[in-house]
Amino acid sequence: MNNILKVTKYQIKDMRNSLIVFYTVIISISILMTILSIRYSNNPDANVGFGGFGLSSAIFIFIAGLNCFKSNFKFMQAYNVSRIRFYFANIIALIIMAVVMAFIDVSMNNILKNVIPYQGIFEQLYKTSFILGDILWSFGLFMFFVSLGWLITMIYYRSNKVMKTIVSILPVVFIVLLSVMDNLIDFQIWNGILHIFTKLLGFADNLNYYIAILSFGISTIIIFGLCFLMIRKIPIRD
Amino acid sequence: MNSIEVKNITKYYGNTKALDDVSITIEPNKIYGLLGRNGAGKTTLLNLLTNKIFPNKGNITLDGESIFENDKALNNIFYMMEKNLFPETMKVKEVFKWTKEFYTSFDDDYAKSLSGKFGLNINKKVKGLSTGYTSIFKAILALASNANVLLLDEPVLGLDANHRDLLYKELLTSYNERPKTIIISTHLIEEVSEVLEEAIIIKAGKILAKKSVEELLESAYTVSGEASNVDSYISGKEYIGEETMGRFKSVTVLENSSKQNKELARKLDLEFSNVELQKLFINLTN
Repeated sequence: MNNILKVTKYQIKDMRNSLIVFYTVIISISILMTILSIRYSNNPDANVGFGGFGLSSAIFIFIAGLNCFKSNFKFMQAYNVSRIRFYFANIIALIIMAVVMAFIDVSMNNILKNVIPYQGIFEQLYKTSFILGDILWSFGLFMFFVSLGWLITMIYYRSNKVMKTIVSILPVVFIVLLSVMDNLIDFQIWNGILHIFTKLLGFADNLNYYIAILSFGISTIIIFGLCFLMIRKIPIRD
Repeated sequence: MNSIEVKNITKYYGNTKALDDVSITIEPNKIYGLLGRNGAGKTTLLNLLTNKIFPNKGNITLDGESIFENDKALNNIFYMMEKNLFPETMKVKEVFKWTKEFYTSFDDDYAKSLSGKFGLNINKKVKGLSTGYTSIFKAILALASNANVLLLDEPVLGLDANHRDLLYKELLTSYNERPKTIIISTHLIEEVSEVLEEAIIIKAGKILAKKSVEELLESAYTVSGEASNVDSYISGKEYIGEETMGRFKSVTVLENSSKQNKELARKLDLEFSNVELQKLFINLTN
């Protein structure tokens, strides 16, 4: 087995436990909501609602992205694994994770839908329950979030103390400045940004989720490219 | 084979030149001591040999193949770093298992037997190990890895005298059973000198000497006796490390021990003795 597969194996083992814990919690909540929903279904005064867990999965995989680099990179350096092989192994591990999570989420959505009044996030946004579309869209969304987490952790890893502070403060300063400027020019900036996001997510084109999948895909590739530039010759840091 | 060629390596940290145009050949199946004062560039050189950092100039090859991002070449080298790179929450036995994945010749039974000899509890987590046991744990990984090249950076850090002695013995046993290239970077020169075949002395980023320990020890000798007589003997000779105690004086003469003037020494009532590697090192690097 070459080093890429060995590192992938380690990365997946490392992510496995947190993934099991996450879905144990999600499944437990789903079961609880199902029981409550069935129990109170005949009670006109009770209203049991469950808005889906797609966003929780996205947040979870974003955090997984944040945790996928530092200690694992150091461990692989102990075995003299090259940075380029670590990079590709990490991408494979993240893809596997996103695929597994997309399948679990879509499967759970469809099971829940048959038991209680329920709509997954994809169905809520795009008004369709096409399973393959849901899988692809969830996969794209998860890939985008996990790669974003990885990029942020790499930026922090490469930065010194001053840069870390700048990187942390910059988004807040940027948003505040944008809001001030937005007020000055009749809310055109935020409206413009909203318009771009509406286009990128396919809401502006008859809820075309394929546009969203494409947007997620292109963004992920760009982020992976940036990660590649950052991982080359990256030193070991505490 | 596993011969390492370091060619014209220069490494800067900001404006500080850590290594200055270093060229050196590490021959296979020899035990080297990498000796130098703090900040001389020892760890930098070891880090460069394993791609932990990259040079500003020059290149490094293993059997003619560049080691730059070369997993195949780097898989022949096990580097015991002073820094701990292993996940702190991982148990020692789990690290053994993962080491076997990456170093397929890793001898799990040997690692466990060494753990028994050193009293290392393999069920402990890495973060639970003391400084000494962290060194032992990393040294066991290196010995059991069966890699052709072992780079040991401060392998006896925090070890008590018994464990140090045991480690040197195990290192020699492992070397005798399966010859390999070993580079030991340490400050405990006198202790390790028994184990070394060659010494590489590094000073301010430059290689000062690369000689067999025997050759180094023969390259100088100590002459001692009454101060004025010692002065007469060393007149016109190159010497280092002058030590005076009352009327008694001892000087290290930088001359091959075969050139000792025994006749003159007898007349002046002087005594010759072998120079200690540590003393020679201190004098060379001061």
